[in-house]
Amino acid sequence: MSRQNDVLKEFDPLQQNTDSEHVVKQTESVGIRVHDKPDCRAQEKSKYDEPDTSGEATSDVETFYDFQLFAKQLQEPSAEPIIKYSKSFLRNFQTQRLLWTAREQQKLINDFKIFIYDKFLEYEPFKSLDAIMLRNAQEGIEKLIMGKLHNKCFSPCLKSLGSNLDEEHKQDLIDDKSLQNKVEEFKFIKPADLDIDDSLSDRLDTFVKFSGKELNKINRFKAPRDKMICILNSCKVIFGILRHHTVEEKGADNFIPILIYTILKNNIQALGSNVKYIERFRYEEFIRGEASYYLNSLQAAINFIVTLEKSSLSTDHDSSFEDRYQENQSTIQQETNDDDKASRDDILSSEDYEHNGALDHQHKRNNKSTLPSDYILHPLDNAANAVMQKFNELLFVSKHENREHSNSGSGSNHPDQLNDNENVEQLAKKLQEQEQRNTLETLQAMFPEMDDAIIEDVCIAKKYRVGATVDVLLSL
Amino acid sequence: MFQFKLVLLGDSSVGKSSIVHRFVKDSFDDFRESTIGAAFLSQTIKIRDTSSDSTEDTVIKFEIWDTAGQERYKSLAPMYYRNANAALVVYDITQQDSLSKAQNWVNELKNKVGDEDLIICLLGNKLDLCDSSDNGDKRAVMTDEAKVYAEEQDLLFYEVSAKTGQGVKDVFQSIGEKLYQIKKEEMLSKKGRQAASAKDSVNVKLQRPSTNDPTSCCY
Repeated sequence: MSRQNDVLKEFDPLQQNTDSEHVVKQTESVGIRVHDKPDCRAQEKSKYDEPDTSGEATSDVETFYDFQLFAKQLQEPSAEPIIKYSKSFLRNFQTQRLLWTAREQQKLINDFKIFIYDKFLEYEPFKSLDAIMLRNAQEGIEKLIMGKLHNKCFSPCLKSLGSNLDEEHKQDLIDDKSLQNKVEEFKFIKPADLDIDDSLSDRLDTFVKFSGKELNKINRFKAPRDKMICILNSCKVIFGILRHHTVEEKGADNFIPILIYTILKNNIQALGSNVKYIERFRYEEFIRGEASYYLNSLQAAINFIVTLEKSSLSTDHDSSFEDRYQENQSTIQQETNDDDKASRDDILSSEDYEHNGALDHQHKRNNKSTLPSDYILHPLDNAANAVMQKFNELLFVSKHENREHSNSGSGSNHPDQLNDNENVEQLAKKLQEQEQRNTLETLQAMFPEMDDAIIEDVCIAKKYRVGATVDVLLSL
Repeated sequence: MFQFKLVLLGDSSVGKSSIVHRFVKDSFDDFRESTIGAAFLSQTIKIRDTSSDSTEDTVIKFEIWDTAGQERYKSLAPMYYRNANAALVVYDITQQDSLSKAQNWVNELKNKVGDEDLIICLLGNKLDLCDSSDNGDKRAVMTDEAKVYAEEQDLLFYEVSAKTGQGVKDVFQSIGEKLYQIKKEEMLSKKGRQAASAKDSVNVKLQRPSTNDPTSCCY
């Protein structure tokens, strides 16, 4: 029974972020700046695309994004029914059943979005929003509910349920593991092995490292939209190198191989689960067109790697391939041995893992890396998390509820949690500065011949938006 | 506005991406939404509806999905052509074996997609390298050979030059018109589609979210 309690605890919506002892219902409590976008830019009227560089009149409906604004709208008294509906939905979703299958989750969440988007038309301030603002509010709701349900819907978070998991979630975990094994097996490959043009070799690895870094951020966010933007930013960096070599026109012939190369050269965890999560929980209308293409390409790249065989890569004119393959094999062997030694005790002490049935054999090999890193389970989500926290206070105002839901009794108080506005703001600022420093360092590595000060100036001018900054630097 | 998905297929040397680039570049209408890069492009065109009395043009939008043409990436193609409304199968008219590779793509589409409404357009590129008096004619695939094949298979067929732009616009215009025609017919007989969408749904429901949830006041 204790296990069930644990499960309940893990799923307790109130346990993660809310501090029940400090129910602040001040409307200005959300008055911090939101830097919830993967590229940490300040709040402004654009999304991942840059009208200034692409020079086209894109329909603004899809480009405006301001979560903070939505937060404010939600706090208007007239919007109370929207909050109540959301609250009601979240409670039902989390309490009616311990675990929904992935398909059920997808349907329930989608049903709710359709329902609540319809309700927007009834209540102010949403009722009188124009199309752009309405879209923003729809995005806001999605971010809000998925922020709450992420730990129930993102497959790596469900790993501890083992054989109790439904087939789809289980398959996600198996697929993640297969991908990781294949990446391990083929991480040594050279660009030429993938038909990446020799002419692209200049600075390819630096760019690929950068695109991998952007893609890796996918695990730091909970909202499907934020995850999607990590993918788009990563692709944007890849097109940065194609533009640099003025071969952008060749389109997918160059893009797809470099995307695959990016995955092989960067150890990104749970990539497949992330794609599935976006596909399932991003509102269907929001992943049409361009986003759909790049999401699909990422899945295609994953599929390519998962089905990769030695024979499909080695060519007659490259006799070194076999040598490189064998060399990598012995490295892996060596690492596995070391890992086994280090983790044997862990395996024996963790009975749960022994009982995990279908997943068990997956765990045996390379046990260390199968255990998800904490950051996947608890995405940083930068300042957005701080805002979400404020939201939880808004959504779940009753402290009694909190007690009731966390049966184990350990969820009552979190002294280490930030509950003070000033602290939240400081944290947000700190995270943003750190993020900006990282971006700056990477860019300086990518453009070594350029003056550091110039790079920094461009970063500031472009508000540290990765795509736009790379575009400008390439054009200099 | 109607949107149609169009997928590009063909070997990596045939210049399939260049054709689309030319099309998007030469279009006066600047409503294109490529913010990431050149593997996905979208472009609107105007269609004149000749059957109705309306004098207004209909605007349709192409979403053009490029694929990697190298042999080793062939297995990824199905992920790109699924749900496509049209496929552009491109070959190089200056390469002898190019047409047969395009024919393989046509066969694959016909076998795997199984959608009678999928419009396939066979497209010979590099027309600029042919019939030029000073450079000599580099043509290796005869127009008639491809044309006869296209008629047999019920494909649209054009020869174009991505370099000069010759013929490129016509390709997209005629694909657009055909797609619009199909869409119109589809809308007239909507019942078939509704029946199709009813199946394959998961049968779970939460109780309807409410503003006065009983569970919220019990504690």
